[in-house]
Amino acid sequence: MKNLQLPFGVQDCMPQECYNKIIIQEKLSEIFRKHGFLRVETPSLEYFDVYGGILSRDSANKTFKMTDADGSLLTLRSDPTLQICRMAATKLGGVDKVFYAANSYEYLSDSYTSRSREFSQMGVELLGAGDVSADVEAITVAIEGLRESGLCDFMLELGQVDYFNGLTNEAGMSECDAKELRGLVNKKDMFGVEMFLSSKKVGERFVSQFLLLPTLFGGCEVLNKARKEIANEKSAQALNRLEQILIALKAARLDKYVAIDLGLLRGEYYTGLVMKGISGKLGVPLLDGGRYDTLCGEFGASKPAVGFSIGIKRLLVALEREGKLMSCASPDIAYISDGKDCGFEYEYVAALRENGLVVEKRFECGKKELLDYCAAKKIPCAVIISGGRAERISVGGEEK
Amino acid sequence: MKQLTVALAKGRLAEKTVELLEKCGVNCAPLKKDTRKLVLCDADEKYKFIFVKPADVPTYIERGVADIGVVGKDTLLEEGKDIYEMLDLKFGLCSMCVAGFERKSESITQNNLRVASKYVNIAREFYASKGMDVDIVKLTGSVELGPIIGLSDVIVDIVESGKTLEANGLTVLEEICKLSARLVVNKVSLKTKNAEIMPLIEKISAIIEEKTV
Repeated sequence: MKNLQLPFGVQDCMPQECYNKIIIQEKLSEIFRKHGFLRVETPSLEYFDVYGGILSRDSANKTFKMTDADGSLLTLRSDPTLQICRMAATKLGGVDKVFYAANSYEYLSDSYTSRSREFSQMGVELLGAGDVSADVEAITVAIEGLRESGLCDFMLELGQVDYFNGLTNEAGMSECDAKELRGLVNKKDMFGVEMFLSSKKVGERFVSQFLLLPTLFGGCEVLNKARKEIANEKSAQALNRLEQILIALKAARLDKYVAIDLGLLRGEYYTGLVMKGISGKLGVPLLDGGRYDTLCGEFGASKPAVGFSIGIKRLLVALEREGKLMSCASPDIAYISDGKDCGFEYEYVAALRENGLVVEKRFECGKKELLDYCAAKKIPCAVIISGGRAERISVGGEEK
Repeated sequence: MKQLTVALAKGRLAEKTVELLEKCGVNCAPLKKDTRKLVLCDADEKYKFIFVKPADVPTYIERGVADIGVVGKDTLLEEGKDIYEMLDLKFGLCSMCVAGFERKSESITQNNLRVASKYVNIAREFYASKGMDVDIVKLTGSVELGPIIGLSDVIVDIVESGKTLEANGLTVLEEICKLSARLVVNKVSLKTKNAEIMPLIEKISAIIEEKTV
């Protein structure tokens, strides 16, 4: 057999899935639009060097690369947020709320990975506002989006990387050490944190605070727990911002969708609020985001920003597990025509479609095949058009 | 006469091989003692035996540190090493199968069949030959759990009696190939130690023929 297989980590999207995907994407778009976000599209191909200096070595290694005809290095879209920051610095002008729906690519070498190398994402970026109310807006849009998609069992975990950054600053840790510690805290590796801190001779007061970090998740009470013994302004400010967010969400009765996790320390470019959307039906996060106030500056137009992206495939899987996906609408009518009166045929079927019916034409088949087809596909009505006449045959089932 | 180094897959295959060698006139008494030694010789010191993990036998042979070896066909297929596979020893009989539940998944979001296996190369090649897109999940043991717990739709694994499958409610859906123990030989050793290897192979071959007739 000719080998027609796909490489690992990519998939075809079959009709049933596509049908649901489009519905979900439309629902999300509608929510984004209602909040004043405008859709943009970015190219799949870009020059690598635009992003090469900004990405960490690890992230840069995970981008697909190829050479252009002139020898320049190109990369496939790995993160639409980066592209939108580039757009913000070069051409977005006064537009400060954008959303996207695009496929991103991750270069993976382990063919047995559970991750995909191509994945569909939708997300929003709110540019130019550093205020806590912009954080609230981003969270609100995320909650409304997930809710509108039909998902019930979900939660947004909120963290604040500045709480951690304040502590490492105060403890006098180098950027490099702070990064290593961040990785350990992110894994909730308490033993690792303890070993690391003792090897770095970090003061006792900080050790107990860092050790507390992995346990700081839950509701509002977490903030009070974290506040004890906080001496530095940055950490205190971070906690205040989170509290303001919680107060605003509570007033809007959206607080049941969020939980605090101060041990949530996303790497990469996040500078303040971080969020992660999880579903009880899925073992992996389906939404990622946060505040990235310094990223646009990397492209030469310093401005604060906050945003998130939703993994569409993951959302679809979670929805399916909640029993929320639908079957493609099957046709209401299937018909054949002898083609002798095309004018009549067109008017007849157009009128049916005008009334909201799905009318499918069958080709190269007779009455028997048509009826068999209708029976097999559970299409309630068959129509046979011969000349200027149409004969309707009820095949059983409910007719609209 | 040159000494031959024989790589044996630890476990039942090694026991069977020792039986077979005795029938060929090799004095295997030193091999039958309960010992933790990994390198042993026969009484006449014509052979040096090394005991290795089954999956490593082809590696020892390919790199020439062992001249001949006995290993399951499953390992040969999975490892795909460049060695001679000279005899089917007709023991250690079993088959490589696809197993799972009878019912099919009706998931909308899952397009690829998910296959859990220790034998990822065999699984990949098998599905490639059918032109199917699959997601292969690499496991190192208890693969039967895959379909039970929902990690995969099917498994690709060795089936001997089928009792483990049965105990876990799984059934064989497809047989990929038959498996048995094979005598493998390093490509250079066959030439340089031909006078030692060929007579042994002929003897073993005769014994197997006798048994099967």
